[in-house]
Amino acid sequence: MINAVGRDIPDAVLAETGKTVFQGSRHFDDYTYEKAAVKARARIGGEGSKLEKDLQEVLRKCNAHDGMTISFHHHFREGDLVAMQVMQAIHEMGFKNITICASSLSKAQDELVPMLEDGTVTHIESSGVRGKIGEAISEGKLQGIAILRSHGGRVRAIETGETKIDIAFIGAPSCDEYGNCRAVGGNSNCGVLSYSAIDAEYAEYVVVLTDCLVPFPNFPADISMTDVDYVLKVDAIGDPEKIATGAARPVTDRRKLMMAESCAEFIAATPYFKEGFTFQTGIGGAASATALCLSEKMREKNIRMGFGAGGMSKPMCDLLDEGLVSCLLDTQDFDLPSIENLISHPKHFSISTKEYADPFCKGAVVNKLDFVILGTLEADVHFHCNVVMSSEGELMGAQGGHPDTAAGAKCTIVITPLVQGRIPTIRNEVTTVTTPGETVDVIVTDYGIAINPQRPELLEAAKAVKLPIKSIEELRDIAYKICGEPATLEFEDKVVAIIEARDGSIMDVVRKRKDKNLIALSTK
Amino acid sequence: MEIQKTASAGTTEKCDCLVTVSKGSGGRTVQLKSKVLYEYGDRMVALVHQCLTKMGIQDALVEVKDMGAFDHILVARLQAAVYRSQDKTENIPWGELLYES
Repeated sequence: MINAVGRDIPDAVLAETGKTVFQGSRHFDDYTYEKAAVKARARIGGEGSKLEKDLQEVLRKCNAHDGMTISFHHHFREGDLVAMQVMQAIHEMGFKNITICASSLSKAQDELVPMLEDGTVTHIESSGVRGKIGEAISEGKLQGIAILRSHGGRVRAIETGETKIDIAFIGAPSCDEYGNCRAVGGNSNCGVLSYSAIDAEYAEYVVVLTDCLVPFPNFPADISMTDVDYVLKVDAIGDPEKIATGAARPVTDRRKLMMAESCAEFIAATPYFKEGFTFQTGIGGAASATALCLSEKMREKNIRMGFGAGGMSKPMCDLLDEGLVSCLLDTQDFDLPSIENLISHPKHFSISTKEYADPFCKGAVVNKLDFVILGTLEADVHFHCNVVMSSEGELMGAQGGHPDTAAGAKCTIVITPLVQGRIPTIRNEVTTVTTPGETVDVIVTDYGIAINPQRPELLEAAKAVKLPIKSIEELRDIAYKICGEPATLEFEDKVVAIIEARDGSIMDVVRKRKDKNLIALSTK
Repeated sequence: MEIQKTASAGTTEKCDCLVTVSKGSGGRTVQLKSKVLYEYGDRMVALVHQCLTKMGIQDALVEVKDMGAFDHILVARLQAAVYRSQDKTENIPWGELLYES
């Protein structure tokens, strides 16, 4: 069945997943649903301690079983040591058919691949699958169909009961013996525990792993003792060097700076750029440079930002310190300065992923955004974006908050070089649709800016300041002239993953790529 | 023109390619490993054959390790490798292979 972004979703996939096809980003507005009921156990007596020493013992106490769903969060990014510790124990105990529901998976979980192959893990639900897991799923090594969903979509899936978590595992940089977790105060600080909030609320069992036990009460807690069953002291939960890096060096790449400058120029030309405007940007070079270029415009015109949201890095914190931003709503920290700023600045707030992006809750921050600046792997002439799949047909990225912020923000700007390596970013069709073009307003490239024809008022605003405006087709033509038109990839029928829209419907499917081998190809 | 000995040109840096030419065994073989195999592999192999034809080379083994090089880079590296295999370092007609004749 063809969906609203023109992708053919096989009936067999609809039958297997029980899902519907994507019918537009507002299709589920006013949809009535019941929140999932959660099984819980009263702990009237309690001994004042939930401390445990042995992971396998904890798994037995949590009624670990074949076919269970367990959850992880990715605040420790490529430094995560929690997921693999738990999975090794599960593997040793011989459990099979496990569903992993993670906020994201990266290189830190490369060792999961043999567990996909031997049937320990048969289902994966995640924002993205980077590294070797992405390769393995692309090759069809996962028994079930992987579900890739946005951060907001994950909250929705848990809250509606579509995904039921049996055991949630939360890595806590500091924790007391009764389960009060903080994202700071230890050796592996990650700043916020935003993604885990929904797991703690809806999982049947909640297990905290920490490498830093502190005296009760570890307040103010990011995850409360009221939701925690067991606390396990382990040697390490993460590699601090890979969790949060030092501040990134300022962008010096002329191409990225040029894009950032024209992006800031465009923002300043729109009617939304006024006192109290709201803003989110990614941490990619051009996106974070946009924040710096924009701050010059703000000083010039004496305009301050109402709030800055999303993943934080030093440039946004500097704006807060300078008083150019009233507050920061933080969902993840990418460098040490932003963690320090979160601790020290009273207007730097951490928010849960539900508050940030849940499409079905009664109010999420993304809906209050004026601007969001996003990157992309590919974008097409329909303004659809692909942030999960390489042009060569391998899963390698994550949806993250991309579709959530794009749907919520009044002005969604995608900033990307027209050509990345030899690969044209702007093309006829994206390999996989993750973010529908109806939610993408502007694409800023180093060869010009394209504005979605749905937004004529933005086009007028841009024309007033003489920005290099081009049609999206013109940008595609320039890209193809530089790179050559890419060949269309060939896929088998087997579906290895679905791209889930925020509302739970199917945006696109990922099929197994047909192998191509040009090694030892001979011609007379 | 003939390949006289094994010779290479290029690098394995991003957006470059490493081309190695050696004597063939009675025909032309092109081996391509590429970062962009699925989207540009066929086009690159065809381009190598086209250049070999223009240079009049009928017998060669050409190995290409591609890191996402544009066509003109591939052509230049191939041409450099072929001339190196003949120890020719002067008066190379750069650019002539790029255009349709």
